[in-house]
Amino acid sequence: MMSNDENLIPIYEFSRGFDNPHFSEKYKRWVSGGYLQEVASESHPVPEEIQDRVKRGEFRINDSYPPDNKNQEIALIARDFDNYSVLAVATGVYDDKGMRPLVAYRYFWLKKTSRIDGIVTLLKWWLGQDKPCFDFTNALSANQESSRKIDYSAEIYTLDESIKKFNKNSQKFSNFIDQITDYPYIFAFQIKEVTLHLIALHLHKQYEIPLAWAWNVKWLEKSASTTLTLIHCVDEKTCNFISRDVKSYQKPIDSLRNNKSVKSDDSTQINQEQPNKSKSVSTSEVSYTNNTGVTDIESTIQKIARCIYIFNLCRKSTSKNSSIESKQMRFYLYFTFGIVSSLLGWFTSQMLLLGTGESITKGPLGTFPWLAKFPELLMLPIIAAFLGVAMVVTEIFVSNPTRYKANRRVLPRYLQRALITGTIAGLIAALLTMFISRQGVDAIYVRVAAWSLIGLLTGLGEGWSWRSRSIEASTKKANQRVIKSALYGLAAGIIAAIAIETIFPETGDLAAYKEPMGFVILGLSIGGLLSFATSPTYQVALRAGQGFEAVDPDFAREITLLPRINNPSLEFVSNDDEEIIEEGFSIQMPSQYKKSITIGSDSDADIFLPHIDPTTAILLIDEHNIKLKCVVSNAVQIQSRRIFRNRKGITLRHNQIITFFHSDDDSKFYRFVFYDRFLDPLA
Amino acid sequence: MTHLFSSKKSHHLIGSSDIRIIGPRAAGKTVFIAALARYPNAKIDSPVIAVNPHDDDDSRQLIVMAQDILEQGSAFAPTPLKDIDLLPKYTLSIELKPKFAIAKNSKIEVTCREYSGEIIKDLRGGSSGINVSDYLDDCANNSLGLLLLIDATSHQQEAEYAQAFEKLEIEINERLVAANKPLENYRIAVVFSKTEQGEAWVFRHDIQKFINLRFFKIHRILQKWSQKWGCPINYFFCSAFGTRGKPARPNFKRQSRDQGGTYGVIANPAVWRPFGLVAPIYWLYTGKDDRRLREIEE
Repeated sequence: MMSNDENLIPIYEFSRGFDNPHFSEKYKRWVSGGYLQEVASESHPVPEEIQDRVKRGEFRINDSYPPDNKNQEIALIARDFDNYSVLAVATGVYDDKGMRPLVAYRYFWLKKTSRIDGIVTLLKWWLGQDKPCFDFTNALSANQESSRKIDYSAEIYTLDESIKKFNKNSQKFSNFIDQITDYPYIFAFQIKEVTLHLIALHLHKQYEIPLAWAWNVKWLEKSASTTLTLIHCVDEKTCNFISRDVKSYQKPIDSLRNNKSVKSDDSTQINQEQPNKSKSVSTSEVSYTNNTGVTDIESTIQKIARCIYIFNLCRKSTSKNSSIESKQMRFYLYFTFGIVSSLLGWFTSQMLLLGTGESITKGPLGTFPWLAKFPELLMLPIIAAFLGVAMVVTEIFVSNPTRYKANRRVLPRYLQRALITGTIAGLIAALLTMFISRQGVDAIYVRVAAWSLIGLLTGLGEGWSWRSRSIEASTKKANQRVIKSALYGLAAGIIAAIAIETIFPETGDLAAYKEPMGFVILGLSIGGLLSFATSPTYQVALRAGQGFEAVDPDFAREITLLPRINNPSLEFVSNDDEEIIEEGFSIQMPSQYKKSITIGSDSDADIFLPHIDPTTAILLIDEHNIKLKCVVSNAVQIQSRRIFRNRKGITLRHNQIITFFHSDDDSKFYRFVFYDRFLDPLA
Repeated sequence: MTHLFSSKKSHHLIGSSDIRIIGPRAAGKTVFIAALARYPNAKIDSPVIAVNPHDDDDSRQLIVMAQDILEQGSAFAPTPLKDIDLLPKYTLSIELKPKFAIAKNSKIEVTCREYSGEIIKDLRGGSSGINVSDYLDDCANNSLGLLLLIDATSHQQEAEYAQAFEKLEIEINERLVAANKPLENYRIAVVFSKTEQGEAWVFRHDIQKFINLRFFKIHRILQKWSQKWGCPINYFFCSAFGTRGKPARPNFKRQSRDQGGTYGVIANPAVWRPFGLVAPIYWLYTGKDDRRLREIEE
């Protein structure tokens, strides 16, 4: 009796708790109504150490991968720690919500002494008791029924016995053990639970790694798999899943042990082959780094220089061969006015917002919280108004550069209009900015939208101002001019916005200058482009002078012999119906005319002048210039210079006198004055 | 000119990135995240360009499970009651097309966690053995966005959920006040899952009517919550499984149904296309309701 008692050890148990387990009529089986405590239905108080390990998930199988329920599969997880041995018996059960799978555990444990092999004791006992596993019904009755079926005292197996048994079969295991270089070691070939334990025990003794293994499992939770040493998987799929989970946790089983040549075996392949099934995550996000400091400034300066160079090229290409210095003058005027006005505007708005001198943080308007939060609301209207006014002032000044008193007289009226247009443009732009930036749109687009609007309305304002004073107001050209300046303004805004966003860095030393520089560029480009828009080249004319003395048609011997214009593209500035050229009349040149305009005594000549050679000269209308090509040598004089036959043509300039001599009489001639009407609007 | 001509960079939106998903058992919380992380068969004209889970252990496991379980027409296990520090966290980055073609793509990055549905029972005074306090601490301390996921066909248990949410409000309120955090910064999205089910599908264009008819008590409780906290609450429809065919029918194979809702698996994984998943996340993150994300394809 005594010896029997000495050979026996009590086994205790507990289970995973389930809430409201009930019998499902539909599925004809017991189902869980939800999870409860991890440690429930205990037969004996469960020591803290065991509870902790259970709660830490050291026995946890992924609930979505329970042991196969149909084949009554059972998975085992065994651990030796402190003075306890625990054997977790896992089975697959279902949930009441649509038969979701989950894992049920029945844990058996014992308190061991140093000589006992606790796990083998538990295993042998468990096998001897016909593999008891979790059952909803016995969990319900709190082990009352099952206690009758199960004998809770187990025959003790000692460590010595286990080691002996291992040594007896060591030849059989050696192949397998040689493969184990790292732990946790995962494999998927058939093995008996006791054999697995003996190998684990051997490794535990030899290499002092924990004694903890899993048998016949699918996917273990990481909290379990990373703390085990040997894991036997049901299939290769889950073997791969676990391998990937534990990869970074694997440790060499013994650093001193030589890596023996590993024989190619299924199990090693499983361990080494870790196909990456997981969805690849694109990490190819190129971070946008900004150089700071010197290189930052240098690159910005280079960019600005490049922009100015390009701008100059554009300007040169358009004004190439331009004979009219006033054109360049206009360009620089618009240019300067643009820059100065936008800077002044920016400065004013900053003064209003931030103040000056000591109270640098709060200006007269800076106290409004919504303004402080959204300074564009003040800044854009002010700058737009300044720009508008500057453009109109420039336009008025350039129109009548010599008549400053008259200019001063008309100025206030236009200033008012420009102010209003500018402010409205700025306000709309500011509101637009506010609206768009809330949508999470990139800053560059916000700026392009706002600035193009400012440019558009500034151009429009300038155009209107000109139109309301120009004698050409009612013509189609005037409308074109308005549209043109509006479009050029729009382009200027877009160019400026893109330029500033591209050449200025987001961060760095120069970032603080971004805003004022931006407005400088805005003013610069609006000024620059508007000067092109208002370019007066189409307004050139030939004014008939000496030689065109009025002839009463009644007295003309032959009407056909009077100088006249023969081409509908040509017309007089003052009187559209006339055909006969008389002294004082101005022949308006078309702004664009592909063909050449012939001057001669040929009846088909565009400008018919009797008595000169049939085709004396040809006028070519280039985009910005008018060239005079002489066909007959010595028949034409520009200023005081007789012109020989030439092919290239001579570009005509403002106020040049062009003389056509009669072919038979050098003392008789026709005289034209070529002039740029823009410089002489009332001519 | 690097800016202009480089490929579209996305603009990272700033927002509250930590989201907690709470809902009754089998409401579809895990599936919600899994479907979001997979974002299968997205249409080209969808406003969502891509959903990329981060390459961390938790997210990788979820993706593998979605492929191995959902896409094989099987069901996930219920989320176990783990210690809060063992509970997985899923980090997803969602890239969205801009509203205006010229703008940059926007990108949000959210970390979400779902609690097992047993917490509802605990909130109603039961005890499931989890440390609910830990969960609520995590919810109150780490997140500014709460996603309440409710099975759209579970209106018969509405009263119980309402009761749980009432308690939830008190618990989180207490914690936020104790931590001296402003209540009005919190956002609560109420998301009805399984909208592909006929009884919810018919309301897809009128969520207000749906709430008034089916989930009136929850609506009332949440209205009180919103008034008390001064925080926004928004309602969404979603379906993790979506529909299939024309005319649209649920891409759903029903396993069973009871008062707590309808339970099943994907009928045809090849055409699995969820809808409405990003809208609540985007709203919780940014506070903005993007209409495009609410659109339901028919």
